[in-house]
Amino acid sequence: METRLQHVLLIMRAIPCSLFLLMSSTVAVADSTDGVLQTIDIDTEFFELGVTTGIISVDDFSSELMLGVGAKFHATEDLFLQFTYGQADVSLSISEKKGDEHFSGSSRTYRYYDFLVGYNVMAGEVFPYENAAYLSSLYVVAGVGNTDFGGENTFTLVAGVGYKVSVNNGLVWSVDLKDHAFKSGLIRLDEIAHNIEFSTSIGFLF
Amino acid sequence: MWRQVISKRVFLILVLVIASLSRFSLADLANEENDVGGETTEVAEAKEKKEVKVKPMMRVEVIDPYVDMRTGPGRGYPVFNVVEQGEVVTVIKRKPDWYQITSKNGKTGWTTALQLSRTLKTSGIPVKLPNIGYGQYQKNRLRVGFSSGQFMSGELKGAETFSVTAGYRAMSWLGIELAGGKLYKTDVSGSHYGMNLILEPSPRWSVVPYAVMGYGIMTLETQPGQADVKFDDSKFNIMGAGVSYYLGSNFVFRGEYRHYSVSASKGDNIDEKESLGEWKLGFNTFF
Repeated sequence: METRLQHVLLIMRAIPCSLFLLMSSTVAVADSTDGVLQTIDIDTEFFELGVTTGIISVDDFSSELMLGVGAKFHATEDLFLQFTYGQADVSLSISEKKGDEHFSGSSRTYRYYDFLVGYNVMAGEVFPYENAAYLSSLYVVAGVGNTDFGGENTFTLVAGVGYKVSVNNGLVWSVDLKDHAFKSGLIRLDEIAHNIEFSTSIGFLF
Repeated sequence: MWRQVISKRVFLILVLVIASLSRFSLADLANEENDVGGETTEVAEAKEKKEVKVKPMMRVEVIDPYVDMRTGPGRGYPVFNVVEQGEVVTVIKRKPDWYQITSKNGKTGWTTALQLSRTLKTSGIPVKLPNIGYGQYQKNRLRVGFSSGQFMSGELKGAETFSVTAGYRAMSWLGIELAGGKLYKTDVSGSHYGMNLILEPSPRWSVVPYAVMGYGIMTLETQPGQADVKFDDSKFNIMGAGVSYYLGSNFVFRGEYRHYSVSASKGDNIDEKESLGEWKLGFNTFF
């Protein structure tokens, strides 16, 4: 068997070669389509980047202010893929206030990331005042992710519902209610923790 | 031992060959497109024009009996205007499955990509709007997705996993992707990352079987509160098969079974072979 060094070198040698080939092929596509397909110039809005803030209720602990970032890819009229990252600093639980801290330091920061698939259930419009109509949509999301809290990394299932309003073509405001469920051994063995997050986001489409 | 080295080399060579193949096939495609209808001069003109005008407005003539214009990019939004056959409209923006257009009477609304794809450019040449239709359409596209599942057999039986993938569909029937993910079990947790080839024949069907092969590295560590055991990084090869279901033109639901053959070196370079089975469900999108 080759040594670890040989193995690493083998991989390193292959990566730039394949990257070069892939990149050069992408350029070829751009050249070939340039001009023939004027459609390239049509402004598209498939990607969305956003910032989130809200409250997350950490099971057995407290409800805390959370901050997060997210990215969405709108694949079709109905479906989108979403990545979210969020974190919150968790203060002492009631039992901890009476006794000792279960854990301290960076373990007290609740961090999660997840990958979600979303479905726009109901598309509509809101009319907040006269002569103003904004596009809106109710959507559901579900997915998987990781929760890092109290020294535990746990497989997390996420499900939620959200409502979004398009302020204009490039700006979306949304409100989300999501449940992060995972098996935790922090307080009791194999307890299923349900951490409910209620948050609001601003997203920029491009 | 030599077999292992050779199989890895073969895999890397395969990746390189495929990447170069895709490059040539793209070059051919480029030639074909330039040949269509002897448009070469027009291309040159278009390029010249482009230098002067950064964003030329795309104007198309409606050839359907009529085109509905909705207030928003979705079937739930009301129709508020209709464009008649023969009228010229300006295309402003594109969102998934929908185009924003402005009609002659100055009204701006949204119409389906399907309806607009059946229109003509003012010059009379059919417009090639980047449009729907899976299969060939996903060729040369980037792909991203995620999946989740569980190990069914082997030492990691019962472990829950998820992985994220990003890649490139070099040919209509072949994709390359990088994958990374995590796995969780009561006593151990870990992460894995690797590179996969996806072979997906007959991509014009909405349900498409595919095969996957790949190579990667897995790291394991004990869960907090468990007896601390040191694990070395282990390398694995995967072979798998699955079914893709196209929920939309560029959105796929995937179900898959994978067989891992893991080689972990323990202690004095003694290779241990371990077989693992994993099922997973996931979503993939192309853009």
